[in-house]
Amino acid sequence: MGQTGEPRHGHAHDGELGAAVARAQEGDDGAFAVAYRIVQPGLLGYLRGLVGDEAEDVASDAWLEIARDLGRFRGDGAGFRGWTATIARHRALDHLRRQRVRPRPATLEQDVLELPGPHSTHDQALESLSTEYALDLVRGLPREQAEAVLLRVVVGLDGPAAARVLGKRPGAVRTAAYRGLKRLARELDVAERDGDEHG
Amino acid sequence: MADHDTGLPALLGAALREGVVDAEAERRAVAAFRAVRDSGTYETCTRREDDWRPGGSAP
Repeated sequence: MGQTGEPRHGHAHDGELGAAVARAQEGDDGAFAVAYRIVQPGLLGYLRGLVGDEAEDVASDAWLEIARDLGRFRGDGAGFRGWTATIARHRALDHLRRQRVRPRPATLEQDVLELPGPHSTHDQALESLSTEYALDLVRGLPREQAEAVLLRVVVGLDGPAAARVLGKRPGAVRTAAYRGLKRLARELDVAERDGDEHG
Repeated sequence: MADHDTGLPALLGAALREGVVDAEAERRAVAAFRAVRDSGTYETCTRREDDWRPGGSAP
């Protein structure tokens, strides 16, 4: 844990984030931009898992609400991640409700098996994952597991915060994240073996 | 629970947070912030869902 000297995953900028949010709440627009830049990548990753290509639009909606309600927020940097993720999630669920199951293209599983390609070795596959590939993997999970994984490893929330965003018990979210990650690890393994056999 | 700083969780996190922040989207968000700030309708009443202080409001 933390061998590289960096704080845990999403928590790297939480001190800076908390300070920026506090200044933004006093009216500093530059500080609001700082908070945006720290939070947006994780938020967008989470939204991509929920709504795919619509993530940018949903994130824009979420930020309008975040800007509007910022004065209501109470908490530190980690709390701000949780608060903004909750807002983004509500906007994403609204979006999905409006959309009412436009079926996703059926190419997903095939893509997952074709990537990372016939020449990839275990080490190569584990050194880096392409954004698209990682997204396909996560979107192949049951929604509950996908959301738990995304909130923990992409947004960088701790267990209780992820549970609060999802309105579930921490134990249930812990289990969902664990199962999701286990399943992803297994699927990565399968994809690699498949690549070796055909390569 | 697996260590989220290494292995698959770290890779997933890095892959899915990747990408540059869209400058235009940032500009719109900051413009929205300024508009709210300057409109005098800035709401500071904290609802339960806005309280994320440590040890604060439970789910």
